[in-house]
Amino acid sequence: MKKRQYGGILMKNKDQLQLGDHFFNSRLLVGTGKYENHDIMKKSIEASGTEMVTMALRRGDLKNPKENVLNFIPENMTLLPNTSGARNAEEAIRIAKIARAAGCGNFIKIEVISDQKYLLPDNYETIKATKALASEGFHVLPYMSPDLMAAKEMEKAGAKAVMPLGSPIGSNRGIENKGLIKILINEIKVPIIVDAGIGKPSHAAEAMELGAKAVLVNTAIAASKDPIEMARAFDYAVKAGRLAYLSKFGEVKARGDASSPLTGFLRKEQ
Amino acid sequence: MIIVNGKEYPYQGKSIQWILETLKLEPSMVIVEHNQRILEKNQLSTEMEKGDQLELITFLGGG
Repeated sequence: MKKRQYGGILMKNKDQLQLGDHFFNSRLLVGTGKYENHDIMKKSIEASGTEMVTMALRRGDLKNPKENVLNFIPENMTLLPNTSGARNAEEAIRIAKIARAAGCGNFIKIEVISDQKYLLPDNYETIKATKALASEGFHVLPYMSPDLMAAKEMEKAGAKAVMPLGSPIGSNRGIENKGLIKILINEIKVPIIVDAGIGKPSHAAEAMELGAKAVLVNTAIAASKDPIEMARAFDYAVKAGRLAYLSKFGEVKARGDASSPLTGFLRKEQ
Repeated sequence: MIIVNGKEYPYQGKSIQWILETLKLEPSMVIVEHNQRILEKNQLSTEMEKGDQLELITFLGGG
């Protein structure tokens, strides 16, 4: 595999996403699943402005070998292999080690799922895998159910970010647990990246407005009618949400509060 | 007997390279794990021993 660059450098006066000692200018991470073909996938990745791309690792289909997806991921991308398919910490650790040995770098998205109906992550096994892999020098980004205690454990175990789901993987339902995610944003020091469930650019903007440091999107882009344009839409939405968050919102009020002056009307004085 | 991707195959005393060629797999398309150890491309001439396990792994789209 060709040598890839993993994460950019710190730039002065630039609002960057920091994961460990790596810095990114884009706060949109994208997946590579569910695309109609590799060409559309590649163009969508480029259109999204992303700098970090996820992919999966599987036993090859010996009867029907497919092209390696890595050959279609633009070379300047940081790779974030996931451990999908793992049902426990042990399997996730094995997948992570294979990915690193294959030249994917140190980043790993831990995804441990034993529930096949809702595809909800197993926080307990994820904490175990985070601990083991972080101690071996991996930059661990665990995908998790938004639970404060679990997130604290992951942070303590050395995770470089914590990635709570907005709603089940591929459901496009948006952020159904806003309150819980806000708690993680307030209490966890490493970046919170909302992963899974984001179905529309407005959901991505909402996550960023809440104070998430980044979002990870796959299905919403790949399964749209025009993934390349949708990727662009997500790029704008993430930037808009981030700018709005940094600009700080005005007060929410129960009653109306006129934006125009309430004096000098062109009518008879009372 | 050897095990390739979880399935048993008769032992034929061949190299890993030979197995890849027989399966029509380009070495650039797969990661080769031999008895839980990742092999470099220049190690594919390694001969399989009886009972050896081979995993031929590939990267696919995912999120």
